[in-house]
Amino acid sequence: MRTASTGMAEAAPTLTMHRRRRISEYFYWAVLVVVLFTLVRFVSTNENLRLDLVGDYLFSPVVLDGVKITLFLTAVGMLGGTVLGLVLAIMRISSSPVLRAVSATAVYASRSIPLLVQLLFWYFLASILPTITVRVPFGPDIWSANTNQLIGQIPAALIALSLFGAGYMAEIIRSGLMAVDRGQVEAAASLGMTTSLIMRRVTLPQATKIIIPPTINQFVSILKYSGIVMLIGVGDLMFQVSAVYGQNFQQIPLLIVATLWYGVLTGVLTIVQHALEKHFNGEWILPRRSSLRLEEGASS
Amino acid sequence: MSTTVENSTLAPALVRVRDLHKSFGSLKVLEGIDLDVAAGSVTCILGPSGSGKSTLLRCMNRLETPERGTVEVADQYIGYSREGDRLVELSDKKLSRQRTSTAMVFQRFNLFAHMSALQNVMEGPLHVLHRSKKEASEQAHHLLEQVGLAERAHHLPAQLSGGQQQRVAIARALAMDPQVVLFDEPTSALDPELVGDVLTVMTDLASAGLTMIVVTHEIQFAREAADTVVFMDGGKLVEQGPPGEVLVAPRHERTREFLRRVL
Repeated sequence: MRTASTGMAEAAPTLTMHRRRRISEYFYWAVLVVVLFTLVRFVSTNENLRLDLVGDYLFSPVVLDGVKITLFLTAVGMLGGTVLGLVLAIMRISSSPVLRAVSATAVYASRSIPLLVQLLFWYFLASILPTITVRVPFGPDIWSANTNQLIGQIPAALIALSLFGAGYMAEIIRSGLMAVDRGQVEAAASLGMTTSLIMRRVTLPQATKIIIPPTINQFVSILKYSGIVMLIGVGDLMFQVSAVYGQNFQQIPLLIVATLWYGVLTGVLTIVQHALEKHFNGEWILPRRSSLRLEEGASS
Repeated sequence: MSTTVENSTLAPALVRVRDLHKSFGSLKVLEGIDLDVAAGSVTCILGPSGSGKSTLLRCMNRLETPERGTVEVADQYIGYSREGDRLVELSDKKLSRQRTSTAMVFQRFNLFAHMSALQNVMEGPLHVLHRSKKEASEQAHHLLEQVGLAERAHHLPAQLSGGQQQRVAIARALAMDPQVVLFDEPTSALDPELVGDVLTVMTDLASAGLTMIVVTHEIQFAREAADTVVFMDGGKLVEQGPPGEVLVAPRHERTREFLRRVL
């Protein structure tokens, strides 16, 4: 045994560190293996489950048409909801009591009215408002159109998805705006920046980072909620697979087809989310230090 | 007001505060403040926490809205336009323009977290004063050099120490060419060893003739740099005068007691 040069302290003995053994892990593995085995056996030996149809229909033109419509509805509905939500969020934090009250009421309405009700309401609007007319107050008509022609299936679906999403997006954006340090807003004001310039240059850029994860979450929700439009005959993914199983009565395989596509689209959105988070983190937050890890059975 | 002190300079007041009152709910924070600040002078406002010093400063650029009384900077009523005998509240746009005559340095720096030091300094000149990018960038580099941070220009606030952040914040304030710079406890959030760098920069600015109003707990700085020391307590201005008088031979018991505790 060596002693330290001062002769006061002994040198530390050479120690190795070992990971704690978790007995429970073996149990979890055992249960998982049994469950997976049962599942695989059920799927592979079940003659009623026509998995071959999944492959047949996954890339069939009918299903791909549905995927396109679903993508279109989700993208445009999400865009509408985000723009409306941004307007509502800014109204909600404005200094005007009227704008704040209008925004609060709109958000409440958007979140409380079921999507299905909204969808059917806009689709059947013509029954209570056969023609839509824009006119100068107490003056002549400027423009007029037949409601049924104006709001067909796709427009009704887009209006419903946008208005349904607007309330959620308003709250997501508002929480992001409020999370931005109040001191920076004051600093900007003290430089002589106007309220709208502060919003554009200081608040929104920083809020964007905060609202990315909940916004992508909302995107994924709208993606799956959009399936409800099949009820008014819009030819989305759900509509197309249901049309197929309406003829061949193979509901489960076709639902698996739809699920796989929703899964792929959700996966793409998740990748987009991670890319965006990485992009914004890299911009103004230092890289996180990797957490300390014990080396497995480190030896000397 | 019992404390009237002859202004040490004969220059007309650049900042004129009259009968300023401010409450937060039922709490009265300012109860009738009168204060004159001469152009080119350094005024240090001292006082215990809760005495209303920061609120007074924040009323000067209308980050707080006083209930009564006026603040004039360079003969402009802050927050109002004068129409005959009436003071009419300004729009957001016009108030913003007025605020360019004052600049503020905050206790917690308040740098824009998503912008580099250089971008922080350029932001006001570029987007408020509408200067060219080249001009704003040259000025910002110059100012960062002046506060000793030339080589930190492209760092984000999170990559700078508190003292460095505060010096960037001072450069950001100076970039607006303000008539007066308001310092709200600029060293209170700093680690002790970082306070010196910031005070050095501030002392340099004071000797260069910048008009400064500084809310601070740094008695040493007040003694060396201030032309006028103002002592506040309980929302009132207790006494003011040259540091040689207020800090050495205070006339009021409350000032004496405060100085005994902090020195």
